[in-house]
Amino acid sequence: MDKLGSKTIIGAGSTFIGKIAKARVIEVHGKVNADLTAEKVTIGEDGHFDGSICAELVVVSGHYKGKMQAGSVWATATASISGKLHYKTLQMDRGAALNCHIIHNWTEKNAIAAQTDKDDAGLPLAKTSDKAKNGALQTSPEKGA
Amino acid sequence: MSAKTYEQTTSLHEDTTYIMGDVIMEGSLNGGDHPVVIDCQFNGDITAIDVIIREQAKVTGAVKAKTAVINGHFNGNLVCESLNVTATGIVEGEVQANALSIDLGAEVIGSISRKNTKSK
Amino acid sequence: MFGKNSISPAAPLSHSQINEDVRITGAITVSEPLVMAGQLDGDIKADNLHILSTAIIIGDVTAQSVTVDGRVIGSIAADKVYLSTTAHFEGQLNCQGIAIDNGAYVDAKFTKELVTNG
Repeated sequence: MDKLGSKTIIGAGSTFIGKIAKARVIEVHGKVNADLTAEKVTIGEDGHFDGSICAELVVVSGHYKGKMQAGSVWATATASISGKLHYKTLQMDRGAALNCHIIHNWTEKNAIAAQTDKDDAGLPLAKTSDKAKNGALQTSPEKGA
Repeated sequence: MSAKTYEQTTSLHEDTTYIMGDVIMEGSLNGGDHPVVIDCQFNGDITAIDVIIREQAKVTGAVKAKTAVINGHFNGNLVCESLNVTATGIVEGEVQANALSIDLGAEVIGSISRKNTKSK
Repeated sequence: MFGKNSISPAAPLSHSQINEDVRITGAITVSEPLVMAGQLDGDIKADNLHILSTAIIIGDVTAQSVTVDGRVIGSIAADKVYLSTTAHFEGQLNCQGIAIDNGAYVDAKFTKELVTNG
């Protein structure tokens, strides 16, 4: 009976409006209007997803509109994403349409650390490669190249 | 078992909607032209052609279907043409069905009436 | 727990039988298995009751186990109830175990209370 494990599939032609909780793996081939927290979300080519997604891995081949917070996002050639996209790693195939606000997911710790270093030197943090070339740019104590 | 037969006929077809696992869904689901198989907790409305409520499933709400197979727990309002409640099924509430079969072991609490007598 | 075949449509050792051309107005009480093929306007109390397809009962049925092939309009209170394909039932159904075959006409309210054997 559990051939699919705990995978949830919203088939093509189906429509769901509401709330989804405790999903692990979910595949959307139909229309979903919901807020969702899951581990892996796949939006198929015919899928339409409206709402927020918070997941570790999101594979988008269809339409997505909303706020997405994901670890790893893969927008395939038929993807169309609009809204807001927070990601840690992003792969975009040629053909994907991204009409959204894309934010590389800075964690709070990184944001604070970046701010602190900036204040120390009075100048923005220099890249290691630049530092090697122009020794004069060495402004903050960093691990030497 | 009827549930197995249904599984064979509606085998993992791409367009079947499966809601399985620990998911808790609340809201309204329309299965389109394809079967809906529910194996989790679902609160709300389901409208579909075939609805199969699996043994571990718990569905609360209104279900409108052509055929319904209930192996699990259903509580609410069910309107369908053909209903099959298997031995593990528990149906609570109001049921309107034209063709009806209930296997020994099933629990039915509520009322079952014919679909024709009430206007949709 | 019941096995799948614990209720079978086959008539038990039929100690009493009411034939199909018999019409009764009143109450029937038997403490042994009964096969009912006639028409009854009233209540029936029996142990094992088999209501054949020609039977029409308008009234209350109380039994330990009932197999319905015919028509019952009223109520059934039993431990086990089996409505076969040709059954026609309207009314209240109070039973512990129920089996209904595809094709049965059912318009009923279901409850589950312990039936005290009369």
